[in-house]
Amino acid sequence: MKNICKWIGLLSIAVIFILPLAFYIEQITLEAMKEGLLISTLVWFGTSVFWIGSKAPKDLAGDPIL
Amino acid sequence: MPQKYKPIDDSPVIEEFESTPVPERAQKGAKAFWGMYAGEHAAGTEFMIGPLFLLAGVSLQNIFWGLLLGNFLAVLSWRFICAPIATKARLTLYCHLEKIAGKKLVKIYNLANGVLFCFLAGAMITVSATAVGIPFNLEMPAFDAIYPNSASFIMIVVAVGVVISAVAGFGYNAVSRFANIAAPWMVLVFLGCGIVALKQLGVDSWAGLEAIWTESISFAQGGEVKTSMGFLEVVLFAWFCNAAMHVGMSDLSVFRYAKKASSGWATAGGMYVGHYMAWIAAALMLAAQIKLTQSADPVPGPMAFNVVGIAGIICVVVAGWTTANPTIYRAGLAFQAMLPGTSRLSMTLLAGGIATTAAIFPAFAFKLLGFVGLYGTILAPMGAVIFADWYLSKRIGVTPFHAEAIGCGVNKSVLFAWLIPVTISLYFIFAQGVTTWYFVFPAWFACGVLFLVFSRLRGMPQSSVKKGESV
Repeated sequence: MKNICKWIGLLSIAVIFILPLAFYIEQITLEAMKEGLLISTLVWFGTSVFWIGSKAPKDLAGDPIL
Repeated sequence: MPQKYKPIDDSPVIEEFESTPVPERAQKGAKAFWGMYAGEHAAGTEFMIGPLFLLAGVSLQNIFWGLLLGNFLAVLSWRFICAPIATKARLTLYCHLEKIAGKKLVKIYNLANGVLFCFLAGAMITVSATAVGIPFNLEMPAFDAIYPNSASFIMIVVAVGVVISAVAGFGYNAVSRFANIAAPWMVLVFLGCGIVALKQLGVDSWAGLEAIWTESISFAQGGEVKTSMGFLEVVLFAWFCNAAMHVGMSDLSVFRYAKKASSGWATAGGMYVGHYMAWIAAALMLAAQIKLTQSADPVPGPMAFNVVGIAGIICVVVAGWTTANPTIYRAGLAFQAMLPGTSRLSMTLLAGGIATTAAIFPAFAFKLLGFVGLYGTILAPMGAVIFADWYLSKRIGVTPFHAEAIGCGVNKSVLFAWLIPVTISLYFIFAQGVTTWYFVFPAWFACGVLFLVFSRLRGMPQSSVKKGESV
């Protein structure tokens, strides 16, 4: 299960990378790209919770990130 | 014994080594730092900072080359100023500073940190609120707005602030985990925003991009093209926008876990992803918005929605949320250190309340460039004290870790070395209106020199100082 989620998640993140490029070279429309990004985003968050960062953070000190 | 931190949720107990050097078994290779910096520096404020360059009339060449050089100088600062000390001392900033400056002075420094954190968190809450408001057709405040433009805006900011503060108070670890999950996604959405904006600008050459960029500046400035930031200013801004972390030594807390000082190069991941690619992408988003909607208001939510749709809204909310949360949490810890006996939860909620109040005023977010310089000017000089104490104190006959050696609460050499350059800088910034980021390095340098001079002048045989006395 964890491995399946991992591969689906990685696939979705690859799609998030590819979609804007596909729009740039005019292979898809802006609307299709936006829909694709939304779906890939949902897939990423839906699957990555099963395999990323199950441990607590190591460090709570430091400054805010800019 | 390493201090153990038990989160209030169900996360496992983890060792923080707050007051002891990080042991070898807990040290990490450079790989761990590359991902961490790349992910953490693609934050909510990037959506704000990039467009502000356009509105400041910065030329495209100065952005590309200035950021390239400024970020490189920032990386060098991490690598050669912060990381070497971190990997030798292996202490947090506060622990290290306490040994030099004394417990009470560190608390004052911590309070300054906490207050500034609140305003930064406020800017992040504003950024998130601009995205949350889109489904409600909320009219966003204009760029020159100081006060909120509607009751609806205030309500959304307060709602976002309350949620963020409550989560920071009750479930910090869950947010940290969520931030880890969101980081790679956010980086790619930032990249996507830049690519799509570039396409929307309809340019196919550098000359074309420069032309449309100049047109965008002209539109934003009402027909003129004047710049308040040249090449030097862009370099200084990029170098010092995280001054508190590198020359200010705040990232001692991070690099104390590094096996080697060369892990400092990993900050390049954060600088060139977050402070180069993301800033430029965000700036292009505003240029695209000007072209498509004739609006020069750098409001992150609508800008991101224009280029990548709902995913952009989610990105703005998540970017603001995941960075505001730890900021409020840390501000709460700073306040708690000042007021012993108070609970962390109440202090976190207090910090959240201050941040939310600040967020209601959009000026804090829209004046972020200046505020970031101010933040560095006030906090970074303490890093010079650590640097001078570590490398130079023995050479001039000053006892390193002086406060620890004699057990004093306030090392006055540190106090005045910090206050004098910072006060002078603040005078020029507020009374003379000089740009903030000119003062970060001079204040840092002056603080280090003054610390050594005062320590030498005040140098007295240790036996003549009673333990517990301020020196």
